[in-house]
Amino acid sequence: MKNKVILLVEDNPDDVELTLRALKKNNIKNEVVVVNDGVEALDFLFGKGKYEGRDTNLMPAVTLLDIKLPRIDGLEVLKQIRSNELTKLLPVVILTSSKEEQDLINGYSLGVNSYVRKPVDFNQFAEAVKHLGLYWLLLNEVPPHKKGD
Amino acid sequence: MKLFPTSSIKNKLIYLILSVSIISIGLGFTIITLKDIKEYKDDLVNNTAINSNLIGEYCVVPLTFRDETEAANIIEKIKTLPSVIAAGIYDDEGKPFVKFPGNAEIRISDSVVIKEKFYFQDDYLEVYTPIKYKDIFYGTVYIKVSTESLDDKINEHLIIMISLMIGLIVLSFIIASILQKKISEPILNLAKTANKVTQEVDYTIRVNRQGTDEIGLLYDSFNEMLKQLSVREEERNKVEHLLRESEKQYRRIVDSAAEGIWVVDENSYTSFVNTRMAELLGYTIEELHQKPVTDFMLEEDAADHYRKIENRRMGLLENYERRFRCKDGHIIWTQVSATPIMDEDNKFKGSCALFTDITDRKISEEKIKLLNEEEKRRNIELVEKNIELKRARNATLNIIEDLSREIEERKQVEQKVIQLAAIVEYSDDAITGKTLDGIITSWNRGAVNIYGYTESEMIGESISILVPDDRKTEVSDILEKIRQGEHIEHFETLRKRKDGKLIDVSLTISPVLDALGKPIGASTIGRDITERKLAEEALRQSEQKFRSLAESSPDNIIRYDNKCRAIYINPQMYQSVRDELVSYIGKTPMESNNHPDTLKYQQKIENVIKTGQPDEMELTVPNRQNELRTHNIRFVPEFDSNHKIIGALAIGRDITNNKKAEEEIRLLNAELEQRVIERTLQLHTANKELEAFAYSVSHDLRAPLRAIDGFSQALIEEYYDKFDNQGKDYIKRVRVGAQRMAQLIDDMLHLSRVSRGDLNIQIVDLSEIALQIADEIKTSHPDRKINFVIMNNIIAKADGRLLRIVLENLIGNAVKFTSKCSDAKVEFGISKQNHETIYYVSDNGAGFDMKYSGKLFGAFQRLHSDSAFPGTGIGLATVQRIIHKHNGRVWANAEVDKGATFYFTIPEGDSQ
Repeated sequence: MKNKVILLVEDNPDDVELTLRALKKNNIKNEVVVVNDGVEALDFLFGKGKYEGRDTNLMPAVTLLDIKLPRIDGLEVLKQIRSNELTKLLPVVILTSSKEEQDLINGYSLGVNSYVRKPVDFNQFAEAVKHLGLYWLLLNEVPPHKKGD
Repeated sequence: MKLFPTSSIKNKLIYLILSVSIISIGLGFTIITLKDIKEYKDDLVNNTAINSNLIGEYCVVPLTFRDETEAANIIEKIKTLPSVIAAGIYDDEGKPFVKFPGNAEIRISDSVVIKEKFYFQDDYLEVYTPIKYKDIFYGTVYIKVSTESLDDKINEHLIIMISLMIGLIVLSFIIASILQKKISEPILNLAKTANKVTQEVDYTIRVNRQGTDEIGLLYDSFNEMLKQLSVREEERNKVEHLLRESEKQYRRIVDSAAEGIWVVDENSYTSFVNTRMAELLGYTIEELHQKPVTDFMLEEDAADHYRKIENRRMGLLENYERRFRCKDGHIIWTQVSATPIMDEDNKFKGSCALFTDITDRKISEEKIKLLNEEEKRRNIELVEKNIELKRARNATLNIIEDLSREIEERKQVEQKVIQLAAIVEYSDDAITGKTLDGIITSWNRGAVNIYGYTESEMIGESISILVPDDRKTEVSDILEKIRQGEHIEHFETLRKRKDGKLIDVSLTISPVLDALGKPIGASTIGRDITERKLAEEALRQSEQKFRSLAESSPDNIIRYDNKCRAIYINPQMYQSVRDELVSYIGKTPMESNNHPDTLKYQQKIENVIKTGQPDEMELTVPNRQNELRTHNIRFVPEFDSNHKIIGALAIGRDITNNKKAEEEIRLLNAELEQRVIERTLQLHTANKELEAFAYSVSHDLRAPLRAIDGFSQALIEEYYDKFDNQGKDYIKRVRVGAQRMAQLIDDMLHLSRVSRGDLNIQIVDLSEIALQIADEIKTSHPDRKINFVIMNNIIAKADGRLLRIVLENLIGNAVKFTSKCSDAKVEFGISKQNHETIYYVSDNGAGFDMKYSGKLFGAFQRLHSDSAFPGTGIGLATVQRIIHKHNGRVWANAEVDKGATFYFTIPEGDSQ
């Protein structure tokens, strides 16, 4: 479980801090890679730009993806993840403020694995993160990794 | 002011000021003078009294001792006083003691006085003073003083006063003369200007305003009046000029006309006649003027003329021929086109007619007629002569033939009589015979049918049985005529049937002659014409109805005969169309006027007459006010009783206003549509914006709240020992605030989401939804003991998702507000009222004061504090929005601490 990386795509530093804190509070000590926008997220996943040369065989166990992001938004990131052979089976959880029906529909139709709305109450938020960690890092079986050539 | 009505305003003012000054000065001076005179007199009396008192005192001793010498000495001192004429002393018994001067004549009026007395007498003053010492009366002093000096003093005073008065009056006259100018001069100036305006008839003159007082205003109004007068004058001149021009023009036209023009007044007196007309008749214009037109006609035409004038009075135009006798006695024929002249009130004022000389044509017609008659006469003469010849030749033959023929004829007559008898017997007419006395001798079947009496009932009876009482004389009149051998044909009268019913009959009565040609009886053919009469009456009424309809119709109606000639024109036509555009009676439209569309118009009528198919057209013609008006004209055929086309009706309606209105409506509609498109677009944009806003609210506003809450919690967790209890409480409050804010945002978004989007109407089981909600509440509030009473099978046609929100809110509220009750009860059900289903959710909780029910459904409006019952105040606003979206109503009824009931309706038809 320890070598399983979490990718957190979040532009709001407060939310980053709170998420990290919630993870820590629930004793989830996995490595968390934080990227601040959609472009960076894709760069990380596909080993491009800033992450040029990253071993793309090491994919995150779960990607926590915000929808409203600078440059490329979360739904577009999800679309690209699902349309790429390398990442199409990657577990992605949308973690966002929005409860808009349209966002939910778009998220699920683009193949998101889970959709979680960030509650304002930190205790609830921490609870949600705990469940996420528990589920995606512990219970969920990651699909067999397809080695990229 | 009646004192000097003719005086000028200037004098009036002076009089006014002067009279006021004189009265006041005069009054004042009189009062002063009277007062002064009184004072002078009092002074004189006082002085004299003092002197006499002194003397009296000196005389006490002499009187006591009766010392006359001493008394005389004392009294003599009096003479040193000026103006004393005489003096005397009387003793206590009133007898004279001494007097001065010795020879003085003293009239004693009061020789014994207890109290001082005085009298003014002519030119002097008498004073009586008692002589007293220590209250003992010793006698009386008498002094007589001349009043001359007093009079002098008064006179002097009067002179001064009068001269002062005169001076003041002169002064006030001067001041008045100066002051009056200030007032009277502007008025005089105005009067002068007005005078000038009327004399010179020049409205351009103006007065110069000098002040802002009432006279200044008067000047302004006067100037304004002059201005309007001059404008009016100008307009009048213009109009007059135009009138003169147009009159001149018309006169030129009239004078140069090839036709005679003759205008007569309502009594047929000539009011105008043009040169051509006078020429035609060989008279001068003056000879015709003011003469009755009938003077120049043939006597036998006068009656016809008056008939024609009657037609004019009805407003009809007419063409006809008329003969006139010229001055030299010969007769001319004219073709006349006559038009009525009506005044504004449509009252007949006379007639105007155009005359064309058609004498030549007439003469040739006449000649042809004469020639024809001559020829006819000759032909007849020829024929007659031939006949005579033939007759003479045949006469001989005839005598021989006559004998044999007579036998033959008699046989034929007998035959004929039988035939006739049969005809008479079976005729539908009542054929009866009677004697000259009216006794019935024959009675056929027709008579039986018509009168109801049988033959046997009537033979030998008097005909008068059949005659109604009020017509009894008819019989004798008829019989008298028959005796004279006269025929009576188609005599229409009333007869009484046997059953008493009166019937209309037409009688033809002929005398029955004996061989010598003497009437011996009468035969009557009677026909029952009751039905014909009724039909005639019906026809007359229908004709009357049609006529009054046509006469009063707002439509223009012209009736044409089958030759397309106008035979009737209704009055509206003359009112709405200019004369020259109206067809003339007896003429076709093409013969009547030259409007460019006339040909088309006439062709349409002709076509209607030919085919019997109604038609219509639009025609734009000027009305009497010369405004172009559009008429819709319908042409309909007219049929006689045999369904033969006998003409056509042209019914025109002024549709100018309709057309205008149609056009306006069209424009308005176009504009409206454009506006709807624009509004829809705007609405669309606004909706888009709202969605973008809501999205941004849901996402961006929550992030900072999360930070506030999260880091507050972090503070407590990480720095727990660093905070005292108050600090911890504060942090807790920060978190509660952030969470409440988040709740508010969520509810607002909820509300805005409810408003957006279309309804998804389906059959919804509200009971089922309410049960689900109740179960959820039971699960989430395990500590509460709530008695849910939910009616079964409440089915509605509505948007299920939205109705769930409604019930969640209402039931949620009910649960919330019963939280302080030990035996909470929440009910959901329906009731029917006036065919309407009313849904309700009731509870027995805290309730509320109906005073605030108006605030109930407003967003963020709360009737309870957050600490008592938490909430955002969005729930009921959301409920109301959803119900309104379904076109329903929502309201509430409650009482504090007695619970609340919320009602709503969902109109089934409307929500579709």
